Amino acid sequence: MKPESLVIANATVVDPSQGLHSEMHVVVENGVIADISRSMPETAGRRVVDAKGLHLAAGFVDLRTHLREPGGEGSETIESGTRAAAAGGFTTIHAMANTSPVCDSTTGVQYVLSRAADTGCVNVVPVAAVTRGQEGREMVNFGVLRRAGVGAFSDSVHPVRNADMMRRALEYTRMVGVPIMEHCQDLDLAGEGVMHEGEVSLRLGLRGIPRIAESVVVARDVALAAATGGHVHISHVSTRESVKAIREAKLDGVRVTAETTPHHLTMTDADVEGYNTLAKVKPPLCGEADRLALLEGLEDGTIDCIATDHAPHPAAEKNKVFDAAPFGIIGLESCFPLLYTRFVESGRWDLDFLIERLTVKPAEVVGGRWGTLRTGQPADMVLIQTGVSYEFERRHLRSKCSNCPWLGETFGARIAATFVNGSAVFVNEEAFPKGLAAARKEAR
Amino acid sequence: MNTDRHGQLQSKDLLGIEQLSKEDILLILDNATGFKHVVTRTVKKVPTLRGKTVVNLFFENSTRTRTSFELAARRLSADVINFDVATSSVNKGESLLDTVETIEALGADYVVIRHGSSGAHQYLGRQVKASIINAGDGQHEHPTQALLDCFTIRENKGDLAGLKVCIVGDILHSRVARSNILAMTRLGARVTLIGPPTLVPEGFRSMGADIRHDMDEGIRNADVVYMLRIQLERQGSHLLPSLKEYKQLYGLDADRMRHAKRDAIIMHPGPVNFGVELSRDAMESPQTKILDQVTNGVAVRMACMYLLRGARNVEA
Repeated sequence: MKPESLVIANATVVDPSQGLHSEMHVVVENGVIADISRSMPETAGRRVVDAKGLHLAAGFVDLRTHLREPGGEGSETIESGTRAAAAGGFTTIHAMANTSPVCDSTTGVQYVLSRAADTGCVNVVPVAAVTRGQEGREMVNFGVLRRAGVGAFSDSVHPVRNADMMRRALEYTRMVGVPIMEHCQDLDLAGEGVMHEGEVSLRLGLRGIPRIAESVVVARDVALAAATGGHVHISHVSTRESVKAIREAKLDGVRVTAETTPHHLTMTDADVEGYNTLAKVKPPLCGEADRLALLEGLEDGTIDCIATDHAPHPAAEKNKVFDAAPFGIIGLESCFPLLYTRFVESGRWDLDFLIERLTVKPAEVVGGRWGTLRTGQPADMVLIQTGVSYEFERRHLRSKCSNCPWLGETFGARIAATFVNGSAVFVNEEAFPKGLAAARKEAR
Repeated sequence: MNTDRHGQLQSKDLLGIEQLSKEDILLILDNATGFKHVVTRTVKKVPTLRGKTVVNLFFENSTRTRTSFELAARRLSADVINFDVATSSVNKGESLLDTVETIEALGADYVVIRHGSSGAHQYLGRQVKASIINAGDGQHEHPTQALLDCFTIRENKGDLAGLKVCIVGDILHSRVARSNILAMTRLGARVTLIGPPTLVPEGFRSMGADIRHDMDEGIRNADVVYMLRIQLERQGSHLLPSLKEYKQLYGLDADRMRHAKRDAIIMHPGPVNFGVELSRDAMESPQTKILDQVTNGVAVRMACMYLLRGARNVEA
């Protein structure tokens, strides 16, 4: 039963957690990274994958994934969602609590963990609700749920509306040691809005969600975090005012972290033109100035990391009039190739920066051990092929749904293979036409 | 009818003014002049759409607009069916697309739709072969209303180029306003939007309109004062304190009308809240053209159906 030992040879190892960026060989023993060195290790008795020309990084960590199971298996399951994650290079994903029933109990947490163990192919960390049923009235058993394996708490698609509840939750979870992830949206300001309130919404006659719907809650939450010493994590930041509020709070030493999404980094409300329901998402896509502020915030560390907010919805649901279509975009499979193409290929970022924002940075937010290739760590790894050019299509998706706005785009990088505990959980046949085996070779 | 125009619109659908060029709009208005002769003579019918079927599908009640479309279709000799949404399976969970596909399968050539969701017509137009005619989508567009309004202004003022048109009221929620801003600016009019900041957001400047919050100042030198119907449910909301305040600040009466040009005309898409946005004296003024708008609506809608791509039986 002991996993065989494996050598990933000749890969360009990119590990920002150790400041590595050079051609190296990685030895995996028993699913753990045993050695990483510039000289070729002993290969006798080991399987060898020749990764010459590929980049090797720690597997990506997603802080916000909607897996829909239990209750929404028509849209996604833990099996299909983790397959999508593996195809996108993610080896650890955080399952949001807005399932049916809501994940707010030990039973709910154990269900996710056992389904992940039985059917999933990457690490799944349950995120439990902050309040029972995400109803905002009663706290969940923070301590008990943490011990059951919860990585963070979040009322997922709802803000914690009552400021006193948020205050107490931040106070209480300070001793539990995990963040409260907040979907910042003032429900009164957001009203019945379906897109960003601005010139586009006025012209299309669609009800707008004003930008301040997010930033007033961010301002409240950083004030509460400052007052309590609790850790608040701002999910899917979308406006420049929010970036400013988080930046100032960080300067003041408040325990606040934040993420933004691939879609908020690459799209604006102009993408809604033509009533494009694929661009209908919460928080809504804002203006170009917001997009640029998010990029700057990510680059100066105000925004810690990137999270996909992978939110599958069936085509029949998305193909409705704009008002009736659900909010959400899937992002696991497209995240890395999209961001690589837009920002690394264009020269704005180096590869190390993108990988850092997808690995060690999100891991730090939740105090996770992932996101690094240090020896002794589980061998959760991703092989990346750059310098390619291909059209991103439905066949590249593993999700049950295809509500992905980037289908048809040309990408310049792909995930070649993904490993969890040293086992290949995804092999891209475009990168390895004859399978990983053909890339294996015996020692000299 | 004495029109030798054989122009045609490029589209099978009339989704909004947005998709129409200035030339398209003028083509419709010129043809409507011919159809107005038809609807004002003793025999009010032409055989243009004989054998064609027009279905009225109104998800929001509007007797006026539906009747206008019905008359327009009948006067073009089309068969007309008014699909009753209230008693159909639309309310039993059948989707909008299913409903329209069913109507199309029954043989409809035109489906005239009013729907509460903005963009409903663009969504349908992409997926069905029948001609979709927008009779109002959410807060987005009401193109035939704007066309009949432009027609009425042209009848009274000639060319719209250079005219000052003031649209007063709840611009934010008004599809009539959006379509009119597009159509009127396309024809060269200067459009001023008047109302409180909650109902007239600054963003409308991006559509080429000026914005004023003071009515007396705003309608100075206006050629057209276009009053919108204020929805009674707006009062006491977060958007408007009361109808009393609205009437005082933005209601139009004969006295206030003196700020506009002496020969300015008053318009309203109907139905009017008497004593709120329009006083009785303003309503009874010879400057008011509201009934002309209604009459012109039939002619303009005839022109629209006549001109859509693939509409006519025999091409000249």
